[in-house]
Amino acid sequence: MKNHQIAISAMGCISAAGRNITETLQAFDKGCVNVGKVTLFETTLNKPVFEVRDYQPKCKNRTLSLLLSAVEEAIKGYDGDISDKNKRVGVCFGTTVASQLNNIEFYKEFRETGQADITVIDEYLNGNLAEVIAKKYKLKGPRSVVVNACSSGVDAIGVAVSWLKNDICDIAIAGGADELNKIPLCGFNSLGIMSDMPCAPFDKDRKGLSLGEGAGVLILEREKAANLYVSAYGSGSDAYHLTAPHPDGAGLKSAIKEAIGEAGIELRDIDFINAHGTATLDNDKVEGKVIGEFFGPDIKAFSTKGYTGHTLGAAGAIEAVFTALALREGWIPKSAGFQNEDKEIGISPLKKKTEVKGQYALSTSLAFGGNNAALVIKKREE
Amino acid sequence: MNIQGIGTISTLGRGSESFTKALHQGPVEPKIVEYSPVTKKTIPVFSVDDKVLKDKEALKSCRRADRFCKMAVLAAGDALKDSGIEIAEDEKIGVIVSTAFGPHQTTFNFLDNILDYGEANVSPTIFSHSVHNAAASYIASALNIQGPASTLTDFCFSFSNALQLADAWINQGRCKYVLAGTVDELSPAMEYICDQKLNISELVPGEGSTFFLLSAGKRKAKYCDIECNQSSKGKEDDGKNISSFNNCPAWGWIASGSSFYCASAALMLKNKHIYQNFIELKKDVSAEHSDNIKNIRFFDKTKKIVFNLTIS
Repeated sequence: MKNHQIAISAMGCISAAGRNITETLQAFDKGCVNVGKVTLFETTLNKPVFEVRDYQPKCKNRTLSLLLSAVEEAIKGYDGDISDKNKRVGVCFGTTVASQLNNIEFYKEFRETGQADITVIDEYLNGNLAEVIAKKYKLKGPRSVVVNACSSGVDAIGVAVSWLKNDICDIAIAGGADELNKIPLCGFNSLGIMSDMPCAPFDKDRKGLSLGEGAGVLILEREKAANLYVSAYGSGSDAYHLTAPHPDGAGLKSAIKEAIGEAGIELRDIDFINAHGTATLDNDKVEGKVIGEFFGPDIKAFSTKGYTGHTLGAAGAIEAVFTALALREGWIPKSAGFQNEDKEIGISPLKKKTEVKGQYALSTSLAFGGNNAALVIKKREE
Repeated sequence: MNIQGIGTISTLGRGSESFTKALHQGPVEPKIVEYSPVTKKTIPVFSVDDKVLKDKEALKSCRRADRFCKMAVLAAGDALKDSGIEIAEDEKIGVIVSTAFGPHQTTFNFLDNILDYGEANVSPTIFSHSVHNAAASYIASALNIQGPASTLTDFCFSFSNALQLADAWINQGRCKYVLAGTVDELSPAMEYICDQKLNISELVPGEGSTFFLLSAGKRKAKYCDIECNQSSKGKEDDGKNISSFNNCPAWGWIASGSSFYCASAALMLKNKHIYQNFIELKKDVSAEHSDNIKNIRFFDKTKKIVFNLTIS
């Protein structure tokens, strides 16, 4: 099979860092961190979170609303007619919250009375992210929702890349979305991996992750001239544990090797890495070690979780957008939250905004279930 | 791509042998269960007997797994075993799990925790099993598969999307084999939802898991060749094909259950036996035993071919 170039024709993103690409770049440039208490729902858990503030939702389903915001930004920046009837436009998104039957009020009512408001289920059945976007823009092509926990967003991009390479569609809208929700807040708290302070990825004194919300979207096309490309995607399973990463990073190594091989480049061609960097003890230790082992301790690396929090199913897609933006803009932001180097980790993220000139960058994602993914993004040769 | 192995778990039991036997026997009676102790309302279901899920050897690395994961691990493991293929160390296997509703009973258990014990006192074990990809994770660890793994959720299109992605991964050379399948479970809340949303006199809810070991088309198929979605359009009708019957007379209505039709069709082609309770015969195909049957197609409601199985 020919190794087609997959062009990034347009992008969109929304997170606590900004409600669009312009605002996000401004936040990165100034190192602004938009963190605070939970305001979206009542909770007894007092943890800092990264909500999208000053945001008027487009619909009742907040995850879908965030996705719509990112899709609309991408389509606005797309140089073509996304609803062109002659094109097969695939739609693939990653999520965690939007896929779950987790409405507490519905369940509480059912538990207590044996019946509940069934319109909640209708909303759930009509809330498949790919289905909604495909219908809204009258798209004729494959559609799917990927639910690989925290690597869902980047894995959805990987599915879209496979569709394009196999000629299953001509264009793909791919990415991920997740809202800040009570269920994962309680769940991550129960696991003891949430920080009482804003997250500090790769820091010696990191205490865990902070949850966030958002969406990231790429419009991808096969064999089209562009300034940015998804050069390759790779993934691998740890086959180890449901929540803990493999101590040697087996799946992550496999994902990086596949992506580098598919891109047809050498490890030294990667100029910088946008790491998953959740700020949990285990993730950062394993990920940092693998990155250090593969790319050396001096590789330019950063984590944007210090600006966005952990946006779960959206994270890999948001970070793919950030990686592409960094290549396009020629600089990477300081790694917000990072202060002190952890000698146990093989890398030390950047403490200040840094110029980058390379052609290739890597974005990594690790997830519950031992899912690991790596995305190589390429800038057009000047 | 080719089907090399099949694993099934349903109300009919475990494994392709019990599935074949059940296909011979025809439809079975559903169980009647009470889904709410408050209203005492009941519903007929095709549920999986817990005894079927007791396999200490196959599930030794899944001791804490829920029913959802256990069904998937057993079906996936059986598909691999059924193929008889020894996977070499350098041969990559991918895993694609598709599910319409995910491990919702575990999600509801987690909600029970929040309601009963408060937000700060919930079980981390239950939470970690409530993610849709827990089954894929258990399959990877139980079978020591380190290739790519993905979980898709697309309601009734879950299985066809999994097949399409498996085909793409194999064509791309991402893996030599893919274990692709479906898993969906019943729960009291789901039974209530089905009671409200389905016409129970026609569609009796079911649960189970079906997995296939798939390989590139160039390898001789143990069962048959399978094409899915777009790749099956334009195939000539040679007058000797049959269409699988779009109903669920034995394993029940499962949103992702087209995988069960796929398994039954593959078994019909391999066994050269038409299980008439489960298919709609064309006029020129009437014999129960037929060497003529070369092709079985499964259609969705819009008459679009979802998958197309062929034996050479």
